[in-house]
Amino acid sequence: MLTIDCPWCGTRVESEFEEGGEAHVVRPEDWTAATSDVDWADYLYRQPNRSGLRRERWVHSAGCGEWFNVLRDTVSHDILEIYAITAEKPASERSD
Amino acid sequence: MGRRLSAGGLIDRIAPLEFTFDGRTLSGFEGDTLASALLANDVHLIGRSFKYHRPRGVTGLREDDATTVVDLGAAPFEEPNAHATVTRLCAGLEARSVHCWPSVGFDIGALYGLAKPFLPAGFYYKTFMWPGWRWFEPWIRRSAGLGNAPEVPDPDRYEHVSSHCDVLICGGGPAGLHLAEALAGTGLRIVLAEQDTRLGGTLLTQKSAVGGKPGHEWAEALATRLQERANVVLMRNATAFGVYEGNWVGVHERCETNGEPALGGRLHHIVARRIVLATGAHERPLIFPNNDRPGVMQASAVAGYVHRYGVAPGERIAFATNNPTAFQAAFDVQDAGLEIAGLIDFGPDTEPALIEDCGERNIPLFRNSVVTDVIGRKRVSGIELRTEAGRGDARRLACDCVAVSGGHSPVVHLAAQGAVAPVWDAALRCFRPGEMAAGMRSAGAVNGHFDLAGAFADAGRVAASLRKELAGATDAGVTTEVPATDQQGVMYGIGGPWMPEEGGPEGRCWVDLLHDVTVRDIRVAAQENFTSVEHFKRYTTVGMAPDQGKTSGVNGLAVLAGLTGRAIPEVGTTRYRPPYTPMPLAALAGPARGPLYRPLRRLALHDWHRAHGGAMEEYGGWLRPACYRPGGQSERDAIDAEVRNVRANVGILDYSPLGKIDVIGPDAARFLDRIYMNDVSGLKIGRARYGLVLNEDGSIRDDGVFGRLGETHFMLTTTSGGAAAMAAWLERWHACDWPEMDVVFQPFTGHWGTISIAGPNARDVIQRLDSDIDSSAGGFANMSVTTGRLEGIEARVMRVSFSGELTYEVSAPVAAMDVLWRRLVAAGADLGIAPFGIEALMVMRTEKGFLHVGADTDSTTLPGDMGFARLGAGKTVHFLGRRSLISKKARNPCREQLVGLQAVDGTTMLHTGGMILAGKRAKGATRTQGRVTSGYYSPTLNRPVALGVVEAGAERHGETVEIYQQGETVGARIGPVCGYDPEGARMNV
Repeated sequence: MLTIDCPWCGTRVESEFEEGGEAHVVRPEDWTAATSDVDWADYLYRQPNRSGLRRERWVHSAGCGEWFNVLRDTVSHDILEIYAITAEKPASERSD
Repeated sequence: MGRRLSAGGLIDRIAPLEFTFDGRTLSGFEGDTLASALLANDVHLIGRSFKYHRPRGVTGLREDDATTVVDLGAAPFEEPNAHATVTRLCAGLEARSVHCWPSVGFDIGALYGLAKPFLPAGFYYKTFMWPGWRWFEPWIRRSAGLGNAPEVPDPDRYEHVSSHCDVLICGGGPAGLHLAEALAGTGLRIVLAEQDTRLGGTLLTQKSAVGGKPGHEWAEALATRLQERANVVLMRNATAFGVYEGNWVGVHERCETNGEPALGGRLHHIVARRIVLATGAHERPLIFPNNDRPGVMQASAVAGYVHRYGVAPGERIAFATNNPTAFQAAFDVQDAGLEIAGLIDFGPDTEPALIEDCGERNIPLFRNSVVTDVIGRKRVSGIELRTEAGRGDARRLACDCVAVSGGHSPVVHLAAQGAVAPVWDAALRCFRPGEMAAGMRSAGAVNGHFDLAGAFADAGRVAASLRKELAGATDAGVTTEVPATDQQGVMYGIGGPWMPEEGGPEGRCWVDLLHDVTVRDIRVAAQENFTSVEHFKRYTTVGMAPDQGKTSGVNGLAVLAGLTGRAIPEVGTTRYRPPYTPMPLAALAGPARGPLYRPLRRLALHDWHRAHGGAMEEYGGWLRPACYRPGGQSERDAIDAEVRNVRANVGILDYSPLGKIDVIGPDAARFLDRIYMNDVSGLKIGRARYGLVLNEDGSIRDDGVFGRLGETHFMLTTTSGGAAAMAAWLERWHACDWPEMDVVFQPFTGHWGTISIAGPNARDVIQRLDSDIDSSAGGFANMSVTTGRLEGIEARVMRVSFSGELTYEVSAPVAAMDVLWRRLVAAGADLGIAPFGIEALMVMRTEKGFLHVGADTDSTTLPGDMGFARLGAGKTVHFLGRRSLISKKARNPCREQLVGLQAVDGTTMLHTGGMILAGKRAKGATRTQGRVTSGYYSPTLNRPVALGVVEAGAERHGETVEIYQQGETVGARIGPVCGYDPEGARMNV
């Protein structure tokens, strides 16, 4: 069971939260065939999900209900950083 | 003879306790375990082994005993598969041996021993293959298993407790206690969890003095001092059974119950900044022929029964060891007045002082010797030993107990559960905890410090480092002094395991006593090329009994390593998993049982429904009336009457669980355009629209009606089961993806109830209420929404029909529901108003062919499959899931599509779940092309109605298909989904 520092409520146990998938996933804005089936499928299903450091969204669903981003080591379960849901992906990690 | 010694032991001799074992009334004392009390009564045969039903007696002192599994208590307070060695004796305790018939002494199952050649390692996979495993399976299943599962629910209750601390110490032995004392002065919040009934660990079972007094007195005095401190919590009967991520430790605290429903136990979830494992070590058995005979036990256990319980496990005891710790045990036992038959020593370099001691004590010492046989079947009567490492002459020693020591295994379980692989210590021939994660430490015997002075010093070192880390290196007022002990310092040296040569009596050398795994079985596995330790464990079942490798683990690995020419660390250990010791499932379940397993929500009108014959059932987490049976009529009759009344007169339905969410803000319409498949922003104020919400993969997530109450104010309704999820869905997209939109959400499903008045007379009922709402046909058409007052109650009214009849959906604050409901019922009395339940509603919507999300859809259903392909066609924005609707897969014309289904004979019911078959039934399996999703009897049409999904169904109206249901095949015709009033004339009035 992780303990997570909710930016609004303080340190709480994991069972008060829900994980909401990888953070900083870019949603293709075009809904026509100009977005290829492959690109759309990449967005839907093919997130990197690497073991180790992972940026992910969490929501304090049984508390304040707010969303935030978490940088977490999926191997050691250490939480390294908690930051705003609106924050952009660090420049060093952007591929484009 | 086992017997109670005349003096000694940490027992209360003033208070004898009567208990029964297999119906025999016996007597023990307060402070006994069931095992010590049985030994005191000379009961050595306690159970039977799993496979061959060999006689089994006590082998260990606590959880290091693999064999004494018993059933406890009488129904309904039974506890199956308890360990006699950890069961505290209490007055009236009722214990029964398991896995034997007719009795533990004369067990028919022992005949399995004759079948031993047919039950080798992995026999499941080979012996019973012809003519087929299923011929043997029932018999094997009957023979397998140990205790008897209770047949009635456990009347005790169980709690879950969550807490936090700075340092959690697992184990209250010398190291754990000293650590707690050394940290107590820092003010850090400390929890110490000890599985035993009292603190002290080995201090209770060995004869040693600490700080100038007997070890157990030192422990007790220290516990008293610690208990006075506000920052220290001492837990007894509390086993740390598992370590999980986030330094989260599960601790099972056993509570005393006594034949009355009471608190049976607590499961503590403890999150600790630091976990210190002071879990000690287990003594390993030795491997030699017939080492499973009752009376062979660990040397530390023999000394422990003498010292802690004042029980003599035998009168004349032979010791066999490969390390020096058993010498001290033998000396202690001799000092207690028991005779030592001999000391068989296979250790490499026993210290001269110990050898001299044996001489002075007249203990016959056989150096470089091994035990080569045990005489006696249900009880040891002697041993055969050979000198010169088994090659010398055979000699016999008469004895009634054999105390063995094959070295010590640190209890690395909790450390290894935390994903830290244990490391092999070649000098001590044991696994120690590997490199620890930042939040975890270990101290004492678990680190290989098997002597008291070493354990205390090790705990002191851990305490010093924790003080620095957690308390900022302030050493003021802190105890750092290591307690003085009188324990003789002995160099710990240990010999390798001795094994008979190939072709010798390997099949009688037990490694796992309960699961009957012998050296021979391990050789079979090795010969069959099982080299991976995990495969080897599953194939031989070694360590899979309740023992979980505590005594059999290292011995099994050593034998496998020897047979496959590898070193033990090359073989490695199997994965350690919680729980460390067996625990009742009830403790894990905690209070979440029965009605609290998943508490159901109740309607504000629950009592009214019950009083009027409402048959309450669960629908999506709510208790709702399925139908009303005030006169005890059948369910079918009740539902039919309710449907007919709605179609002919008017019905009233408690529709409160209908999900309700307000969406308000300048960007509300623009936001909802992205959420709904339909157009939202074009909706006029006062109007409502049926809408679909899709997942990003295009599948239908939820449906409902949204109405526009103002330019910037919408009210959404959702399925009752999806109400909370829909609110979270809106929040998620707003918070994470479109935070720039100015909109807020207010779910109010629980705050406002909803009443649905449906039927041709519905308008008359509404108009009889005092209201400022224009409910006329012209002023308030179908698919409209308005706000106003009904009988002075603030309300929102929607014209939405799920039954196909003229319907008003009235939502109002929960506190006013009772008044509003009664007024409506009274107003409609002469118009034929009657309540109807969910089942009648489901019949009517199926007659109409209205979609029920979750029944007619699954997680792959696209809107086009349900006939809604054109719903969002004119939109210019990217609503959720939109791109998925034009993928190749989504456009496949052969997808399963919603259709109406009717049996060809016109009378057979088509049941939900019936499979629509594709083509002729081939040998073996057949393909399906769809299924029945909703099937009901329609009293309106006087025939069954059904909906289903079938491949390319929309194009196949009129075709006949075969449906397999309830063991039979039924012919059915595909048709339109709507079977009643397809023009909608009845609701658009």
